Parts: sequence; C-alpha cells; structure tokens
Amino acid sequence: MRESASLWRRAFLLSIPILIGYVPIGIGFGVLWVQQGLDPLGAPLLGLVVYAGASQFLAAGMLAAGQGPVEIALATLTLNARHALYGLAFLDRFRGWSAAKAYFAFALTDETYAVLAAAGPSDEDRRDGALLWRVALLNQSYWVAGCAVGAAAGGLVPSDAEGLDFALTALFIVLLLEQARTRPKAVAALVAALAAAAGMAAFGTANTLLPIMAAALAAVALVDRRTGAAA
Amino acid sequence: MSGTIVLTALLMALATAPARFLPFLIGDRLGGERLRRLFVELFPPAVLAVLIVHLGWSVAGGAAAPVQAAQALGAAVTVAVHLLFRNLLASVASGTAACMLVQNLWG
Repeated sequence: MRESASLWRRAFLLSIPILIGYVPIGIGFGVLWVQQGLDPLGAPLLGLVVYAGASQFLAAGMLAAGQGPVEIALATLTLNARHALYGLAFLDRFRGWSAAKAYFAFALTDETYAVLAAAGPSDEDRRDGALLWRVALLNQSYWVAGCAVGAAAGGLVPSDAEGLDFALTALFIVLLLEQARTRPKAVAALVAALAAAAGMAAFGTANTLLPIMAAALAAVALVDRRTGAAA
Repeated sequence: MSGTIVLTALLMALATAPARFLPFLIGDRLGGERLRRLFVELFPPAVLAVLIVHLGWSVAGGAAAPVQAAQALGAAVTVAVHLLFRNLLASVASGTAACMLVQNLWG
C-alpha cells in the first residue's frame, strides 16, 4: 500500500509539467469541437479512446467539413505512425504482457514519451514499469478532463489567453536540456534539429511531421554510424 | 451522441493502435547493441529536437511579429531559467508566462 502511494506520488510529480500543458490544450480542443457544432460528449470520448491531440484537432475539422469516419481514420493512421518509434525505448521495462503494459502502449503519446525518456529508469523501476503506466494514466486523465471542460464550457472559456500552448514547447526544451548532457546525445539533437528545420523549410509543417521525423532520425543514425566507424 | 462520432472515435482508435502496439509486439526481435543505443540513447533527444522545431515552426513560421517575438522570448527565458535553477516546473512556467505576456500585451 505504502509502495503504491509512493509510486503515485512520484508519478504525479513527473506528470505536473504535462498537467500544465495538457489541460489548456485539451480545453482548446473541447471548445473547438463544440464550436464546430459537434456533440459535446464526443470531445471527452475522443480523449478517452483515441488520446492523440493532433489527430483529435484534425478530426474536429474534418467532421465539420463533412468528411467520413474512414477518411479521418486514414489521416489518423498517417499522423500517428511516428508513435511506432516511441515504444522501443521502453521494451525492457515490462515483463511479458499485462494490462499495465497494454495500457502503457496505448497511452504513449509524444509528451509522455518525452517525460519518461528524459526521466530514465531508476533501478527498482527498470523491470516492472509500475511508474510508467501511472504517469501515462495521470497524463491521459489531464487530457480527458481538459477536453470535457472545454466542451462543457464552450464559449464561456476565454479564447484570448494566447501563448498558453507554449507550455508544451517549453516542456520539450527543458527535457532536451536534461537529455543532451553528453556529447553524442547533443550531437544527435543538433543533427535532428538541422534536418527537421531543412525539411520544414522545404516542405512546410502540414502533414510532414512523420516523414521529417523519419528523415531526421535516419540522419542521426547515419552520423552515429560514421562517427562510430571513425572512432 | 451521433453514431458517426462514435464510429469515428472507434476507427481512429483502431488506426492509432498499430503504431502504438507494434514496437511492444515485435521490438524484442530487433536485437543488436547498436539498434538499442540508437533507440534508447540517441533517438530520445533527437525526437525532442524535432518536436521543438516542428512546434516552433508551426506556430511562429509566417506568424505576426508579436507571435514570433513571444515564442523566441519564451524559449530564451525557459533555457535561462533552467540553466540557472535546474527546476523543470519553474522553467516551464516562467517561459510560458513570458510568452503569454508578450503575445497578449503586444499582440
């Protein structure tokens, strides 16, 4: 019991930055959802069963534009394909399959990945993944709560608080500062940033995150191979 | 709630599942020290760098000067505060506050 309480406390501390980022963006999604004339209950439903911010915003626009569920699902498939990279970093943190592992796989978003990959495992967490699913669950609860509040409040929510969504960028910046403390990691980040900037300068940002991320990671692998061969 | 929204939610969940579950299903078969080094050590900072560039570019690219200035100031404050205090929450909060301040007062 005490161990569980301690894990929840640690999970909550790890999830606080996500709380700051997810709630306002979730509210923004909920507001947008009802402003498109869609059923308010749909906003928390998507947060619950889909739990993918960019895809949810996309779905709101596509539904309002009269697109069908199949078109939206195909767009979602493309947009979320990048998540296939994330799970590989946590393979050794669970033994076999369990409900906890299945839930963690489902709930591994950009932000949860970023926080947990930056935190790194402590010795006791390395095998059981007990902390991981708790952080993921807290993060999803923030997101669903934000979606529900936004959908319920609708037009009552002030829309002039611009810049609040910078919380996620700030979170990623801090996590990167913590991650890139060794030379190989700093080089990897720099190579990826340059590749991403070049890709976005050439192709823009609409529907390009997956190919640009893939190209950036390929560049990192290539540089690592060359420097490894040279060493 | 309309059937279309429920169906959309279910199909979206189905479309998201392969990407999220695949690494846990086949990842163990991808052996090799080098691959592990890439995915566990080098890709996390690389992914973060890509997400930062993407978020920044999406918001500030082609935006009005106040938005660009707010994003740049927010990033600078975040980095400065974090290098000074090494406190994640303080860094995120101060950077976000700086960004909001510029964007709402100047924008």
